[in-house]
Amino acid sequence: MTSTVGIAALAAMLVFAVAAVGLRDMIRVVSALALSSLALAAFLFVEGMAYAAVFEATVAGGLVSILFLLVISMTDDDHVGYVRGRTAVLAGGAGAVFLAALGLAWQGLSTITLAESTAATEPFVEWFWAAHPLDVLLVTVLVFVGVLAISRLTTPLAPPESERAPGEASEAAESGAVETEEIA
Amino acid sequence: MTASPLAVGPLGVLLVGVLLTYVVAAAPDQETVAGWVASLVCVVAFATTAVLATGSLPRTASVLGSEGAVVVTHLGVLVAGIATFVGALVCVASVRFLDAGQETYYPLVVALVAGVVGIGFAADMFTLYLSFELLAVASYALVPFRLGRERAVAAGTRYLIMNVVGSVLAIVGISLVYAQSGGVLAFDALGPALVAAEGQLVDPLAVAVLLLVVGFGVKAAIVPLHAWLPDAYTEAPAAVSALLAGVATPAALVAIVKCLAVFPGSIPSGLLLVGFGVVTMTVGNLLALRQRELKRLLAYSSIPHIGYIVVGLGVGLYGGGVLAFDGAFFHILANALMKGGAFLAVGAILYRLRRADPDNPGTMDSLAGVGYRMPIAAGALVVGVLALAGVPPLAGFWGKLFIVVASAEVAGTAGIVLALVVVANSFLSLGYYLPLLRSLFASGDESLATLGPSPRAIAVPLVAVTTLTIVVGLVPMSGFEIVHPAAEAMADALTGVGS
Repeated sequence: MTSTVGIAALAAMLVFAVAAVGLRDMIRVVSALALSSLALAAFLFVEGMAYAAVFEATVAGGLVSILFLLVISMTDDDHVGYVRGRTAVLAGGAGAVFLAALGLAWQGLSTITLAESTAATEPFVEWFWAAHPLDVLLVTVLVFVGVLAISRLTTPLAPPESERAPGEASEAAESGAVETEEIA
Repeated sequence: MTASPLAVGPLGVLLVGVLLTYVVAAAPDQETVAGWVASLVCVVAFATTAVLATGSLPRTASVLGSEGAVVVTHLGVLVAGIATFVGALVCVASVRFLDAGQETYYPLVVALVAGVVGIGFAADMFTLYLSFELLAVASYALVPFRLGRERAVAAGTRYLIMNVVGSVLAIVGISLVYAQSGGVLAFDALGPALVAAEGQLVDPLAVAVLLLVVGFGVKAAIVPLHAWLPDAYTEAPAAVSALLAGVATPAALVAIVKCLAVFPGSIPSGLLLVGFGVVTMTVGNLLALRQRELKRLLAYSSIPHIGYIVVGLGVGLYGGGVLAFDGAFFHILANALMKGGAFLAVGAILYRLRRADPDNPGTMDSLAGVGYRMPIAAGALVVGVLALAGVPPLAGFWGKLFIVVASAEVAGTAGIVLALVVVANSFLSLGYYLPLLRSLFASGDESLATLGPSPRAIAVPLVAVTTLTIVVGLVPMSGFEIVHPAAEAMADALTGVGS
């Protein structure tokens, strides 16, 4: 049976998730998503899915969402100044989420024994590695892909043609790859 | 269940391939080589999948000492085969079109394909969720890959926000399943575990079904969760749109059906899907009728095809009939070919049109005469569009036919009405596909006299995918033999949990 804490966490998660979709302010969207992920991680933790909570808090929900939204918003000229003006708020929120996630991970990996564990006395961490190696591998690749994605989204754009020095051509134009972006 | 190290092959090749492709692409001026490496990775994964398909299934393999981490089923083989095949075509089609500094493109494409294959081979719900996240994270960067376009960034942002929320709902659904099953998430053990829990706590399971459908349904673009799709498909590079429409979106439907198949028959998950499917195909068709821009039209026209598949899966889950699953899986196979080919063809056409005139709007009116100047791309688009409309004997006809017959068989008058709705929607789609074909072969505009032919790099994948669309249509048994074992296994699995 779901506990009161679990229900509260679930309700908070749903409220923040709905808010994330409805809000227009990018900073608030980022904050709502981060809080939603944190509430979800708390729910999973309370319900006994400690390993899912760890993944959710550290990778899937928290950092990846925040970083993606941050870099995407910064690529839009309209948002650059806006984001810059609230960097402290954003960094503080992200830091809080990250610290909470780390705390949760520490708690989950060091003290929890689960019904799923083969022996009640078996340390969670040992059971975890033995039972979920593919999941660990997938999360490792997921983090790597996340880094690649962020790297792509933060790639500096070539200046518009009007801002180039006279006679200066883009690398793409020189290589004959003009207007290739329709395909790839 | 047979144990075989080969079972981990396709997923292993792709996961290693992500790193390998990046290492090659990161070297200066090696984008082309990286493209070929990525293609090779997909081809090797496809070949391994094909070898697995010829043996006895299901097969399992241990990963780093853990038994049963991967289970290769008929459905998994089908999904992996489609994903790796389309992935290889997309990599080949992209080889000549990447600028310097885009070294992340191919690793992201391979990661997306790996995520889809992971969904197919996942032995439990949590591994399926992680594979789904891998697919999602890769696509978060691929959708707004054209960072210079403001509309692409906006589309990417909307796509990200909606899909993150969808992922959150899906994991909540999985956690409810975990709580109700007593800590079981493995697909082969979940059915009995949930039946045992059914007598006491049906409602949480019904909530879990709803959360899983909505959570994964966002990525599948089931109406009303489809808002991200038109902009994302339109603004993404054509090769990425082909991958998303042909592989990623149907993979979300596979994730849904894999999860729902383990629930007790008393939970009306089949009816829920049928309802979503009818709304999805009807709304999708009506929205597509209003589109004049070529790529946006194709994007909108993807929505009804999701609807057809959802109806097929829903009828299968409701009635447990093999024929409905045959139809749904056949349409997933056909959809990969049709949509993959159509988006690549549109990419080739827009590429040439905008080289000739950078301000070309890409609307149907601006296509007049393209059919004569670019016969390969236009031919591929014609075949793809006719197949999408369900014109016999092309690939898109048979899946719809199976779905219609299965719908009529399973539920009396209501089933016949459902079948008629599917047929009516198929005819409705002609309302936007036929004007597109007419535009392609209308009297040529003088300004298009200098339009070049289809780029050779993209012509090869176009010919391959178009040929397959025709062959699978003319010889439907070839496709049926691929999808039927998966449909049969799915129906058997439902019988096992008392549907």
